[in-house]
Amino acid sequence: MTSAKLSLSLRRMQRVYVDTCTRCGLCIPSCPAYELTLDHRLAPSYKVKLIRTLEAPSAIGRLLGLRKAVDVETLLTATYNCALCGRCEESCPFGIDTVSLWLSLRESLHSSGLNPEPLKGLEDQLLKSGNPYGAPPSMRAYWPELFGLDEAFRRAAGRRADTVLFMGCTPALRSAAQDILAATVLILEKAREGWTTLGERERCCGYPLLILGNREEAERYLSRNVELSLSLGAKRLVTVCPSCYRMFKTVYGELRGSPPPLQVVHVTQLLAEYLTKLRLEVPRKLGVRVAYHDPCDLARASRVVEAPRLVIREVAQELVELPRSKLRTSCCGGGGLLQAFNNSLRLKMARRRLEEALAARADVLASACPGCKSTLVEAAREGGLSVEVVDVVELVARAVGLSW
Amino acid sequence: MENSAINGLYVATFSYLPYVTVAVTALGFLHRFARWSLAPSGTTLRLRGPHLSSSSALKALFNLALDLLLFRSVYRENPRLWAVSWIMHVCAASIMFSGIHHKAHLYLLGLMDEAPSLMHEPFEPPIPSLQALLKRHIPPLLPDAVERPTAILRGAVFACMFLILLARRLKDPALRATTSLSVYYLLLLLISGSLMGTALALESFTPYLSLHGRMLLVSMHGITAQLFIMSIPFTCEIHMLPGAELTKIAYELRGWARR
Repeated sequence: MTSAKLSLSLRRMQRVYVDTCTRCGLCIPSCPAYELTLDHRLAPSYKVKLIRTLEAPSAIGRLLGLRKAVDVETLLTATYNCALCGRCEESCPFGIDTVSLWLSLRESLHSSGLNPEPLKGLEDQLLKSGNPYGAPPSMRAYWPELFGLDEAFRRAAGRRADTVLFMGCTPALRSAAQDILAATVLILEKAREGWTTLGERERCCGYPLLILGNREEAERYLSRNVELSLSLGAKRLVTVCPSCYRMFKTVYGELRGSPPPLQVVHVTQLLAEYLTKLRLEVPRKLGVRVAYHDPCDLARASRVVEAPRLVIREVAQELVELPRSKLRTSCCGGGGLLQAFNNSLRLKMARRRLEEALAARADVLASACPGCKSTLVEAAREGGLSVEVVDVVELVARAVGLSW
Repeated sequence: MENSAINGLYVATFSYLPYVTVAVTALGFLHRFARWSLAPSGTTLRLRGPHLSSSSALKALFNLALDLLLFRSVYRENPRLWAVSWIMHVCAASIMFSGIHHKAHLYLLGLMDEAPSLMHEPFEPPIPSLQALLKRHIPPLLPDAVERPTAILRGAVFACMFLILLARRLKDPALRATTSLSVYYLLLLLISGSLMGTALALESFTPYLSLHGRMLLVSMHGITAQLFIMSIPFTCEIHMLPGAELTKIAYELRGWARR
């Protein structure tokens, strides 16, 4: 494999971060990808070492010709066998913003054309169709027919309302996650929420583009969705996907310099509001023992850990905590586009999470992320593990007596 | 080693090398700060929400203090590593700021004072006014009867902690792959420096060396200390000055400001 003389231009704080890293190695055992592969190239502190090697040298360094080459295979292995879960960031005693470093690495590889072929294909597909699955835009409005919700959906789509439901690509287009949208719509209707949706006009939130390294397109997609939502008079945007939530809630402000001009909430926060304000009544709690898997983007990246727990306690008999939970949650493997680069690692990560749920003697493993659900369901099927995987929204819908 | 060579080494270590140490360290810091300030200041795309769950600036500062003083985040991740690193840092601070003669033990402020007694002739420290100032204003931290024996203990513990850290690094394949040569260099410097310092503390308690033996040991200790000081701006030891504090403070305040 050839060696790369990739130019990596770090921002000011990133340079401080890289210099601050003492190679204490606390991040190494915390990384789920390293834990399952024991490949040192995946260790976060090794990636910092690579970044230090790749970083554009100072004037003195340039004069002395100090820019070293890095093996491309090592670079790609280190960069893309990462779920971008941010567990390393949580473990760093110096608060080093590691995920921003991994993103810079991806941006550099993207701009130099060194990013792997499967990811190039995924990007092309996304830019052509507006979603990472290559489905035509009309398919976004197809799922309601599968659940007999087409009338409610048609009534809501495109009308002016305070709350816009941002469907997201995975819930709208992947069969394993479509139940989440169906349950959400049923709950919105039951709570008499005035809601709307972008329908076929909705596009990807931009998160996959961002982690592919295409920041400009990510910003364009994100802004377009916000503008369309505002054009419907929305004051609040509800997402069922934590990655979409993160994009609207945090990344929009990072990219645009100011937060979005509408309130962004995750569906679990909305459910917590409904249940505490008695807009939804639970006749009888579900007699199940529920283990909750915190999605990385919701818990670690967005600090939403209590709302889903409050909701589960309201609707289920018992909530059990997995050994790794809340801000120290372990990724299910569904993040970082691992599916396109290393699907077996993704499924290994998911399997380990399922085993943790089984060890906790949970009847149900609940998450609050369509990506987590589809990954965990796939791993359970492949591994023959009998754990029911559901989304928190589905649990609520069941508890309030809704069926689809 | 000839006595005259030891005399020469002693004088070079404590009379001339300090100027090199100060110059290299100062230039190193200038270079480091220039590199930081010349980097583009655009958004780093953190992708994450506020770091803090604290509801007030006071709580944010409290959390920060817990992390800086008690290494809380290290404890949460790895209690055994926490024990080693926290004890090591406490020993380092106590050795640096108490010293066997009730003065700051930073090289230029402390060791110079030993020179006259070792040389048996008048010896002028390079920065006498600063040393005099510290002598006048820093009270002894511990009574001499406690200070001397505990200095030996602290020095030995300090060295042991670094040996444990080195062993951990050599044992773990991923950590080994992550470690650069500069880290091994620093570890060896710190282990040898602290072992020599402990031997000197023992020597001051129960003398067992000849004058020139003591001068050689003090010189070697002085050289390792100065090499370490010179390394700070060029290695990950930068974390002990602005790195850790800057990142933590920036992180905490930025997180809090976003709320």
